[in-house]
Amino acid sequence: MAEEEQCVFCHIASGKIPAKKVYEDDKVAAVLDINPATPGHILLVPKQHASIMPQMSEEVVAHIGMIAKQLSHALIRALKIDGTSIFAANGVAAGQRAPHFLLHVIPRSQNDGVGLQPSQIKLDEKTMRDVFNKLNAATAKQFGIEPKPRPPEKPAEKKAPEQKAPEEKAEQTPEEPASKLDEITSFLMGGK
Amino acid sequence: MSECTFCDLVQKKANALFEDEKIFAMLSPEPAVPGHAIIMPKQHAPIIEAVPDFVVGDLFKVANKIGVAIFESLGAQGTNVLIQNGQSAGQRHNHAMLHVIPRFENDNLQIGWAPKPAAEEELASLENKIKDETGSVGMFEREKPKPIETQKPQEVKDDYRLHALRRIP
Repeated sequence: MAEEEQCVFCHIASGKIPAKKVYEDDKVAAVLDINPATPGHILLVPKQHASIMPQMSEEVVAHIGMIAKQLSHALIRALKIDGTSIFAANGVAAGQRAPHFLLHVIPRSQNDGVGLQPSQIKLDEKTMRDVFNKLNAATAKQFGIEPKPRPPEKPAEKKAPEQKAPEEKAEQTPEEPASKLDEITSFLMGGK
Repeated sequence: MSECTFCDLVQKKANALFEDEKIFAMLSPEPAVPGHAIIMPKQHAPIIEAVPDFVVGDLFKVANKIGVAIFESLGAQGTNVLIQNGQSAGQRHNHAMLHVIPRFENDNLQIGWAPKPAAEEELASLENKIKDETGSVGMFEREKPKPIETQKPQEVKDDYRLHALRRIP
């Protein structure tokens, strides 16, 4: 496919573009990032082109995760460090820069300046419940199971708001069916 | 209650999004944004190294599905997948977990790093050092098949508790 012919990371994974490969198998290549966050920063590059994780097969997703765990351990032994970050960004909004899915394994040390510590916020009960209801239903759909909505913390209090929840849902359903995944992917591919 | 807050959360099943024998997924009690999910092994493990390979594979599979659910149900424009492995990586709890964080344009989350170009010689020496330790990468620990129960539990014949029970009706 045209987009794959132009994808630098497809060429890196296949070996057409030389890179410092520290591991390779039939599904994935692991190379050193030439612009690392810290020395020893590894990029796990799936050989089959995918822009974001949801485009990858379950088998490859599991495989790449297990390889990341093992490479993390290899980094800890090789570089005598005490931590790693295993990180992926799906979509430009998440900070993704390459048009090819990458799983980063980053050696860490105290005060290394790598910003992979998400801030924390307090959510009010209603926001928590709304987001839970939406995400719980969508997750159940992904797994092909029945959603089992669980009230967040205090089930007793919720008689009144309970009535509202289905209404809101009904309002929102019409805008939801269109998946944004294709849009996100095409933005990544067409971007630069 | 156990000594691990997250083992307790698994027990309580609060805000559970998914669970099976090995995995438990829920909304994070310490979210960066609404919809921030965490996926954990049910079996307590302080760091990801202590989680068997096949369970790590499952963590990622579940994370991927929840990621799709985040895109579709919350209108997220992106997701971050993150494992903080060790204190220096920002791990705050004594239970290994994988984060899936919904992302939106201008959400003001500071997640990332400033890349620094590396010199060729430095990369070459790192490559050699790391390769020395990657010999066993790709050999996975598989789940052991469950033993098939062929023997029935032995019948207890002369237990005083049975006598007592038989007398009840």
